[in-house]
Amino acid sequence: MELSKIIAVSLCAVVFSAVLKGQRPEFAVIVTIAAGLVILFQVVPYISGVAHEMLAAADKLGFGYSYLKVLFKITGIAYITEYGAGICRDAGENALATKVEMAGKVVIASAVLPIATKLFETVTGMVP
Amino acid sequence: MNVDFIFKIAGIGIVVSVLNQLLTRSGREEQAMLTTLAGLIVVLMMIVREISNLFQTIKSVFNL
Repeated sequence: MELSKIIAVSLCAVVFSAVLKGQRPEFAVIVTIAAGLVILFQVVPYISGVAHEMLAAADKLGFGYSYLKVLFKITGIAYITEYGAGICRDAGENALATKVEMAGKVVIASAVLPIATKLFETVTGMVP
Repeated sequence: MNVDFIFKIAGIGIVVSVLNQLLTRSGREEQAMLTTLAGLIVVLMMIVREISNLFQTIKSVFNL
């Protein structure tokens, strides 16, 4: 799906959400969630293609394959965290959004831990 | 996963809103609230299915 279609879909969803917000605000939130889902689903094949290409290139280069994998994992975590927190914030639940973001940060930190450990070991190994 | 999903949900929301107004104006408040709740549950089930679908897809793409 091209970018202009995605933008058009999101504008439609904004209008629907505005219509429903006056009468049934809960449905407005759900329309926002649905629009986000539809757009993400359209975009995921492209992301998958790019990710596979980059991983193949790293494989051919013989360097950094595992690091690239962790990088993609972290990007995915950041993406869905932002999605969830954004919807919470749009619905007026700022505190909930902050909790979601904190959870995302903790998960990212735990995913990056092995690489950080390896980095520290390398650095301390270099110091005579 | 096409655009119809959004239209379905927005359509259900508008229908529920209209029914709610109708029932409230004709004095049946409890039925109005029950209609709203029923619409909400239906829509939530549709959304939850798609959310789980999304998270599975993202997990498969980014963990590779």
